[in-house]
Amino acid sequence: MTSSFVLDCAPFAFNVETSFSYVRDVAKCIYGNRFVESTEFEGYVDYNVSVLNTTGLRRMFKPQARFLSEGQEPFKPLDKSQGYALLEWGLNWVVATHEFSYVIVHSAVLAKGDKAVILPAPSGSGKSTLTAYLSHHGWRLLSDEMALISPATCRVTPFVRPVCLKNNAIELVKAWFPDVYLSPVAPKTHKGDIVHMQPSVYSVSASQEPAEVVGVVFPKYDPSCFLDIYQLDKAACFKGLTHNAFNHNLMGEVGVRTMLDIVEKSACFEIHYNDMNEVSAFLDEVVRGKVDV
Amino acid sequence: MVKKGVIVYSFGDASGVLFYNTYTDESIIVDVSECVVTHDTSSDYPTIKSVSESIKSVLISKGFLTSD
Repeated sequence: MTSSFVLDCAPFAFNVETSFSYVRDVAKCIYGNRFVESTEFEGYVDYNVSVLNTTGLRRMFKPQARFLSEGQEPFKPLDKSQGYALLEWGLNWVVATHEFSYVIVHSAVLAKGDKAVILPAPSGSGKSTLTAYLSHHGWRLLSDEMALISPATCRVTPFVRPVCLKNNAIELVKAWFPDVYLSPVAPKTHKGDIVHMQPSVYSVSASQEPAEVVGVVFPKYDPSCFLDIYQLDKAACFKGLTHNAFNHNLMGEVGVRTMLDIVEKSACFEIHYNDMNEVSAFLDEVVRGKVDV
Repeated sequence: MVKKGVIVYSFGDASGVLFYNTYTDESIIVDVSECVVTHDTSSDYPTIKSVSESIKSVLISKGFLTSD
């Protein structure tokens, strides 16, 4: 038996059908009042997705979760215990591969007021741990995973969803924020152990407020230094940004020019860090325009 | 001559000149000492004022410029 609900997380609404009650329960805890029963949702659904049990004998002996969207199945089935993580990854995939109303960069986005910093980084750079910390220390989370940039502007639309934490970061975050809801651990995924952390109430309440990008900062966790800051020239920043972009090439000239605009109007840095408070203080200077562009 | 679909852009801090082919997604950034671009206020598009022979041949072979 399946049930369905809508995750109404602006700018998109996802209708989710699932045969796993725990996926539904976790989604309800993570998304709070943005979780709406499908029968009660009155808005427009942008994407239909499913997290379903496999069929046949496997269902009895080693149940697995499958992610499907509009007839496509982008991932191999995963163990049932990884079903919620599969849903979140699937939502990322749906937006990254189908959405052309935004230039999308694989990046965290944090803001103070209406000024945002985007933090593009590959997996393993400590981006999500940093994002989790900062989003509970005065920063507004716009996204942990993707910057949605309106074409021909430097404006980022919030897409506030849970922060994905891996391995050692899980215990760290539990210690930092014992009251914040974390999904059950999805063990032994291809990225290791995974949990999803509920975004802050402040970030969700401001999720209709776009912000202007004023900084592009490439973070890299380095246990050997508190905070080393390297200013990037515009060409290097453009290379780094396009390396992390999902769809600028598919959007043609407007996609590339949007990236160029962001680079020219932003302060561009690479940072190596192990002290989150130092990073916060530095990013604060970036959004206040206290560093050279 | 710049080929159709190629964006030419000189970064504001003189860190390079970008050639980006929007059809093939290929790009190259060349040093400003090798390629000078002027931005004519009457046009949205820049003009290549000068380009070194070595870079010119690279840009032609990679399909950013025509050979004329």
